[in-house]
Amino acid sequence: MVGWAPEGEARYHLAWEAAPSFSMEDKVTDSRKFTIEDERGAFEGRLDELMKEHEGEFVVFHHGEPVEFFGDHSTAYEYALDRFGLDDVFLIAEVAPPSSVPISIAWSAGVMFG
Amino acid sequence: MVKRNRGRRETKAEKRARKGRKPPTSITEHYASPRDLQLVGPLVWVAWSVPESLAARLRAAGRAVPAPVSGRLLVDTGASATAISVEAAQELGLQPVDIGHTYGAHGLQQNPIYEAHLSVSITGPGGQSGVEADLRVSGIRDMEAMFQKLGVKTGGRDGGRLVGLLGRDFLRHTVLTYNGTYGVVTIKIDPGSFAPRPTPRA
Repeated sequence: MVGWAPEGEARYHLAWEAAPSFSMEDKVTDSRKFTIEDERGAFEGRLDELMKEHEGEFVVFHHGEPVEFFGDHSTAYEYALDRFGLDDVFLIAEVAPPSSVPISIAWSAGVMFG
Repeated sequence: MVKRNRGRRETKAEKRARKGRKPPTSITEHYASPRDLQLVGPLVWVAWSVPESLAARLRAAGRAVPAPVSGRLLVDTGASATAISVEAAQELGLQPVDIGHTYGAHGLQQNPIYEAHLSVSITGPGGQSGVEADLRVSGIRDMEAMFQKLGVKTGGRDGGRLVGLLGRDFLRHTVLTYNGTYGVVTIKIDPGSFAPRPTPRA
């Protein structure tokens, strides 16, 4: 088997540096059940701020807060599994302006059924 | 003075056999008719599975690792990235890690994004080889139902399940030949063009 890394991203990660007056341990965690949509909404709300220092990195979001940054999505995924377990909801998103992925026009248009 | 090698020369048959031992790098699909190829599009046999990072943690927790989901990907030159059917992702027990947007003729749609492992199998005279990757992929809903509407048998040997789209992120490493006149598709993979496997985190 040939390994396939389509993006060829860098394989490093950067720790999230919280503001000096802010401690992750002191943070009061919101105990309500977060959905992936909640996490995505929180990420989009913070995107402008994150872009300043972390553009192109992958961020792990949990309970609406950025937790850590990585150079590739696979490493971010491993980190999130270790930190939040197999059943919790977390978001892994690229810190990048929103974009859309094109899929086949024929597929969406139903041309295949003609 | 260079000594001429007077040893026995390799016969053409032996040369072919030696070459045949190389791992195959080409996928060739012969469709029953050009009409069949037109109807269903080029398809490639694959297997989706959970990423090894998840499988290892499931095993460590004493939980079962879901069996790979085998089926076919529709080769889609209109898709910039490979995608998984939501049905296959759910069968693997994958949880979405993000929400993305895809667009087509019906406009913008929201799709779950998963971490998944893809194996593309290649069978040839030299045996079996393949290409595999951990991917961050969009999930496409109702894909299998659409495939069934085409009249392609699903779940059997003929059609297999449609478990996603093979996009241009994969095709950029290949030479794709679509012979619509004869109903034959060949995908020649260039192994040298693939990036090295990600280095595990220390």
